[in-house]
Amino acid sequence: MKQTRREFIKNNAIAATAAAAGITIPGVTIAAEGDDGIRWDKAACRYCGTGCSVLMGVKDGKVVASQGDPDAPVNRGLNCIKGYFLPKILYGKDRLTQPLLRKTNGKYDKNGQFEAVSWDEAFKTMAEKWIEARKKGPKGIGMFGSGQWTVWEGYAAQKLLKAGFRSNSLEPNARHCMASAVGAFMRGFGIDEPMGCYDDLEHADAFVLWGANMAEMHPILWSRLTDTRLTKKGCEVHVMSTYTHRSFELSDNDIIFEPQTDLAIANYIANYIIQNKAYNQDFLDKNVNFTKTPTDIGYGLRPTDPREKAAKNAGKGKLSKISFEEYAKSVEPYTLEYTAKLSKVPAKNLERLAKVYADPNKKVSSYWTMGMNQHTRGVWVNGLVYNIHLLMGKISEPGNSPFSLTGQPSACGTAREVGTFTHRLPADLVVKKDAHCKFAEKTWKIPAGTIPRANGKTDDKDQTDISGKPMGKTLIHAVAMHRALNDGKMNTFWVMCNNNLQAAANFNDESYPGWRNPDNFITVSDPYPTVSAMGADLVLPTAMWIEKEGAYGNAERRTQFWREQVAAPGDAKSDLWQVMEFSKYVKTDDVWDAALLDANPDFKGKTLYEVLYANGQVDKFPAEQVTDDRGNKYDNHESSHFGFYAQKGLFEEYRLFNSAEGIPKKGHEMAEFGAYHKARGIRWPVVDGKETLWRFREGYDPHVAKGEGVKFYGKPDGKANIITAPYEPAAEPPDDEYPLWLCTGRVLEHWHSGSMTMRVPELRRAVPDALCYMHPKDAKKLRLRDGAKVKVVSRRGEIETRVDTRGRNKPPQGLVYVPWFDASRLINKVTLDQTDPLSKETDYKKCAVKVVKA
Amino acid sequence: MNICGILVHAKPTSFDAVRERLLSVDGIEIHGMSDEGRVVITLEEDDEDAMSDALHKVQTLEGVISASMIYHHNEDEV
Amino acid sequence: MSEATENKPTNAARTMSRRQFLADTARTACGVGLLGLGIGVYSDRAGALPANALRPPGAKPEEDFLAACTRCGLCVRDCPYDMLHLGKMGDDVPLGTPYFFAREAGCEMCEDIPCVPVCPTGALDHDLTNINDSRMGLAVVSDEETCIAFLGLRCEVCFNICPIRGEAITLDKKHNERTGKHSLFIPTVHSEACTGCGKCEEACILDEAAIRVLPNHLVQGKLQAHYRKGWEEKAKAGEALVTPDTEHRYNLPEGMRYEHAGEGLIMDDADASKSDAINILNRGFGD
Repeated sequence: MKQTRREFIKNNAIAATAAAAGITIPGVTIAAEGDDGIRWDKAACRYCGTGCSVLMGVKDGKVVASQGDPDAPVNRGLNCIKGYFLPKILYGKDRLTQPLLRKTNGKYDKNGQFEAVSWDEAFKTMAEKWIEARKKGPKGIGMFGSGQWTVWEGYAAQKLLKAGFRSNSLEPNARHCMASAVGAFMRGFGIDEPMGCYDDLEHADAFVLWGANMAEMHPILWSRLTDTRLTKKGCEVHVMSTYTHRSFELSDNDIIFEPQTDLAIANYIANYIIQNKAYNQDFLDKNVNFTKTPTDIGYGLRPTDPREKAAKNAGKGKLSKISFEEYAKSVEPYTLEYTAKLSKVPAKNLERLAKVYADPNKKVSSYWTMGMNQHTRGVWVNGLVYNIHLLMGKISEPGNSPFSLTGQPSACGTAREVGTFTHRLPADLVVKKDAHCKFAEKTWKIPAGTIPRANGKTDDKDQTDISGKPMGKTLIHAVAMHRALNDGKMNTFWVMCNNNLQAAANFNDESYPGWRNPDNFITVSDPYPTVSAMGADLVLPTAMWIEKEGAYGNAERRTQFWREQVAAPGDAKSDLWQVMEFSKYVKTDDVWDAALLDANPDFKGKTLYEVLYANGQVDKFPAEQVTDDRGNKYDNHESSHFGFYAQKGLFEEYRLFNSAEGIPKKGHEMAEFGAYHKARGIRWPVVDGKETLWRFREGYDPHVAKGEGVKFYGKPDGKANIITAPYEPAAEPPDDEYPLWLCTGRVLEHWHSGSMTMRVPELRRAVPDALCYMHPKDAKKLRLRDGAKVKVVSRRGEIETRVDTRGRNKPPQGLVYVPWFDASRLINKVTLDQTDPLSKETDYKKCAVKVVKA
Repeated sequence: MNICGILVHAKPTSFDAVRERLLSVDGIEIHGMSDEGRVVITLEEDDEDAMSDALHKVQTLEGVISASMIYHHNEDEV
Repeated sequence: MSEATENKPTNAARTMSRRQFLADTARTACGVGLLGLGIGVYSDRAGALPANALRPPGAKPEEDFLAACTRCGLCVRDCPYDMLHLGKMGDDVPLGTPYFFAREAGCEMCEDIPCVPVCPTGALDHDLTNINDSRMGLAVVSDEETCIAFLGLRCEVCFNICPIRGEAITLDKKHNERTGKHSLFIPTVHSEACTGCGKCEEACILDEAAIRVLPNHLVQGKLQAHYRKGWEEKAKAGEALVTPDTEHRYNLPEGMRYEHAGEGLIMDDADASKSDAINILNRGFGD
């Protein structure tokens, strides 16, 4: 080493001197790196739901280079600032490399210190806790996964919980992010995910943002939208939000509305269209049913909360048919005058917005994300926007698109399409339906009656649990899981591929006490020591992103694959490996009831691994050397460990749900495994090798026959639902004591909780702290200068930060905005665990706070 | 430990003699010469004083017009 | 030198002595007194030159240049345009070294580059034989608020005077949002072609130039070493770096096409349904 260093310095001395002398000395150059020997391969970007494709350059087993994929239709070689730094997210200095268990004197202890353990010890300890907890009932255990799981990771976890542990206690973090969108798709169209695609961005004449800051959260899509605005004659952009953000820089019509009044604005637009008889009568006659939804439905708080007790129809959502006239009457109160007063939006701005929708010659695309989904009336407000598009028939064709964007790279591909929610199964099937469960059981080659039904009954008879008692009701959503942990009803919890202790609302009263409840055993799988890992009892080191073969599905139904490009550090393993390996530690006899096993003796004494993965189907494809078309070789650590091509087996079994003959719900068809490695994503439904860009319209969608025009085939009668719903106030509006609205969200530079981007020094330097964005007049009233230290205080907790009155977000008076990426100041200590009672999605956008000098 | 890269301008007429004289100084290596009389040398010395002495010696050698230090690296242990 | 940063901390006295040394050598113009030379003094030299002072064509990077330049003044003597000066006592420019200020007079970029071959030490690189390869600095549009091209006015003086025409400065055409019917002609500098001659700064019609030529290290950003521009890498390789896409096929109505890595949806003939004989005849000859 000594010699080498000396030689290196000397070499540089010679090179520099020779350069000054203008002499070339053979073999002497100042060391510079060439691109030689870099192996390039494609991957879907790790962050948001846009689904940019990137090329990653690997040399000597390490990612050394990256570029946007110039051939990818989504991003055409571009990246946002986070994508620019992608290689660095793998190489944070504090990567977890070995399983860690809290111990005292060599034994597991909830209050002990973390000590390194083997995977075997980790899984043995975990299995013991899980089997014990499962005895309490199907809700005694819980798993909290992710819209960042690869498709097969979600699918494997789905099987482990629902078919293995016989429990529906599986939720993704997408519950906090997309559930309201899903609820509205199912109620309105009977099938999940947007009808349009990103090509709408080039074909629309007007864009309306309903609670999405695309400029920061979907940077590459925003760049496409901006280009259309700049180059297309007459193109206009309307931006709605509760505060001014960067998307307003392009806005032609700024609409800052009082929180929650988006409900009224949507109804006003519908009313305007009806009053002016601008609606598309022919489209309505052929394609639309009118319905109403129960009102006064509460806020998804604990049932003991006075607001829930006061609600007449808490949690109810059954639709009833109404006539067009009844619908028209229901929106009649939303006059321009009334809506302007309620929303505090100038009447002229509202009218301009309504006119754009009502103009039959303007193609309108509406975009929304968390502003509408994280809403105690999220399903309603999603539906109200569909109402407008349906009234005008502006749907399912290029440029006319109501489009719900996703925040996670595979919220669609994994959480929604695989269905890793408590109530779902793959391809839009639900555990509420006995027939759907039976189809899943047949496909999975497990005994009929294994999967717990939502109501615990199959063929109208009770399903029996391991305890010998009836299963009872089996569904439990994300926020309820934290409450169940807090109450000691759920005792084991496995958090994978997300940072739920930082992300969940009401840290102080619900999540933290739930996690640290002495009765509970919390497992967290993560590449980094996050807030969640800190709150766990067992931490499992995780191989991330391109350290494993993966697949993501983006917001436009595009499924993208990548290969394992580098090995994970130390003993870190992929989520897929962890789920499958853990299943070897649990036997059917541990978690299935005796009657089920007696009726199906073949399953006695089997490990869940044998039942779920070594089932002759998932293990059908032998391990093979993964190569690309240039002959480059790639490892696949799961294949080499399990002895079969696990990703391929899982994906092909999954396809039996969406692409096989005789499936219960058509419209989710996918191409075979191999096709995706050869393409830069394919948009489903894929029928006869052709992908689908716009759904429900003849010519574009193979499921709509010639002559049918438009057909919403998710519904039995082929018609979509217009669902009327009124304005109802928020759960916790500001009052004298807590006079400000608090809205939380993201910033461009950091992705979600910052567990990856805060480990990129450049991004950390760019935005190191979460600030409290505030109107200068509000600050002045409180005698706060820009940059002053403050406490943001709610009824539940407080954080300390600094005031920003000049930054990128400019709230109106009466509202403050605080991003949630910052692990050193957890804004979710302040937020309220309120949800949409229908979608169970948390509303992070509205609670009451006060700001005081720190 | 010091490593220097030094550019020496020598009288083109007395190349070989200058080369011999340069090499007589401890710690000096010659890495290249041009026809116009430019010589690339390195000088290694542990001690700073010895370094100064050596540089001085180079500069005063017969046939050397000038000597410019182009590169210098100094660290305690290499 | 990158290694310089690893040196022991310099002490101020030594730095001073080094500066003194440089001044002395300039005075004698031959023979170099290395006595009193400090150790590890190289790290602070890059800042010695004022930001707007540029070196003649072919000058080595500043550290190497200062080490190699014997302050002989021959380059200045041989400049046919007298735009080069020698640093004088009291100037910010190191004594006896050649420089020019672009705003006063830029380099005329003589084809035979007379200033270079006369350099006795290679401080000006003799390998520079094509003046277009010289890099004296880099032009930068430093003030978009006063540059009248950004206002939509037709100026383009810098573009027009640029000796590497159409390559070092191009005019990027952008839509004029304000008027709605005009274009902006935005001067854009390209470092792969700009020699830093300074003619643009010299010629800029404003009272204070909105385009300036500065030493490259004061102007240029540097991408992180890992990042590649995907479209350039593809062009270099002549093909996609990974898996050429299999053919994508789409469900589309008649008369529509879809370009995968191109335009997207293309409506070849939006009226395809109306292209029967009667419709064609009734369409007439247009206006």
